[in-house]
Amino acid sequence: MTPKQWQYLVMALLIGSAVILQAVVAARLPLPGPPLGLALVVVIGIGLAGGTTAGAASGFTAGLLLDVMPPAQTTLGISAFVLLMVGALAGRVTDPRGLAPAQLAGLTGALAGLVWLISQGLLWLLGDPVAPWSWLLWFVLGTTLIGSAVIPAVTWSLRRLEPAGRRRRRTKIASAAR
Amino acid sequence: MAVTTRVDSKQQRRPAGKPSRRSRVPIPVLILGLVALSLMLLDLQGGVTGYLRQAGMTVGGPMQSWANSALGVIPTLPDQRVNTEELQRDLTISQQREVELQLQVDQLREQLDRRAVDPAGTELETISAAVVAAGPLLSRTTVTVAAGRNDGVDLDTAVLAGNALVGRVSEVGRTSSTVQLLTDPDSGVGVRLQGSRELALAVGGTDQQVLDLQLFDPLVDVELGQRVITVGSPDGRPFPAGLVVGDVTQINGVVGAPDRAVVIEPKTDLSALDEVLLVLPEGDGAREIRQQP
Repeated sequence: MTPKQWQYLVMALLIGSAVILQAVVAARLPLPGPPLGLALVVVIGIGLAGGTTAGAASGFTAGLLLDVMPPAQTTLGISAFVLLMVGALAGRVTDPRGLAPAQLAGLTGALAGLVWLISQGLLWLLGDPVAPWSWLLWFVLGTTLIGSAVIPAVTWSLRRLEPAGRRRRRTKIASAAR
Repeated sequence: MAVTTRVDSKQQRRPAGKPSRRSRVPIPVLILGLVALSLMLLDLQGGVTGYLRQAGMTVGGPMQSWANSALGVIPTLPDQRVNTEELQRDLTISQQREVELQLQVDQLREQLDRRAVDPAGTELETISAAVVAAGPLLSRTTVTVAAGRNDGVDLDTAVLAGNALVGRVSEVGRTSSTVQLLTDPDSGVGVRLQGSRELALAVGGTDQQVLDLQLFDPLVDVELGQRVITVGSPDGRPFPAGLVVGDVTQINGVVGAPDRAVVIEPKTDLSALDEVLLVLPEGDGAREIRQQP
């Protein structure tokens, strides 16, 4: 297998396990607020390492899986749409390796807030029940916390698989299409 | 600055006035976005998306069960310690309740010249199932349980835990199903206040942790700690009569005030469910039914 194929395989494994762990572990931890956004931080990590298209595609996949798998009951496509946006946005960061931990935390927090607001807005538009406002804070806090541990691990493992000649440059899958 | 968009840096390199060949958003991203949006619209209509959900249930349910048993020790460890104490307390409470209920049933039989409404004394046929996953992204009010159509579970099956009602089955797969908890904003149960026997509706509250009690008669007296039990649906589906829902823990406002809010706390902690009982339909000989004591 080529390094690129390895990368795709690792991304698929990361997304699959994040989606399962999110429902089985993260959502059942006795914490206040909404379930922790484990899939969300993995998508951010893939976006940072892989670029706009990779981030968007993985966000779409993770979101669709979350929407379709039990026990989700919200309108199909909401998580897919929101995570797609986040993956694409994370992919636009030019120099993800230059991000200081504080900057990374800020970025994760901002994206988590965005996810929460947009998904609640969509739920409201579609007539689904909306969560209390205080959950926005919990979601941002929780996601930022696990993000600072998970995102570096995701980006590191994907960069390890970068083709040798390109590892120096700011390599992104999207740029290969140029 | 480390955080700038790549498009910006590209535009700086491009000679001014030359039109951009690529749109700001890559085409695949646009397509996926449109797919997600059309999924939402399709789901509003219903139909096709049902198959997608069924497929998700068929594939995802067993995977969650597997992951839960592989990792099960990690999330449930802190709960287990609490559980033994809670079980002890539950046992004494339910013993008291049994006596209390039996008295009530007897009184009712005498007072009203009709059949007792409360068949809590009758045995419900149930199967036990492990809770393997919880509402993953936007809410905490649904859980996956590792029992499905193959085990005799049907849509609208009542779900119990620790002698109290916790919800109903809202989606059934072959070996797993989704349970909508009482705290779900879409959930509503017809209930009765124990003691005064007043009727009300217990609906999921906005904070997804407690229930709001909507009394049919605004002039009814409600006391703190008053127990709330199910009225029961026709034929006991989805909800059998006489099951504990929870206790009144908060009353805001005075009797008769239009904005009086009565809050019920579910008897079982719905955010830490490990094992639940699913009430099987009665007299269903076609299915193999395991009875639990």
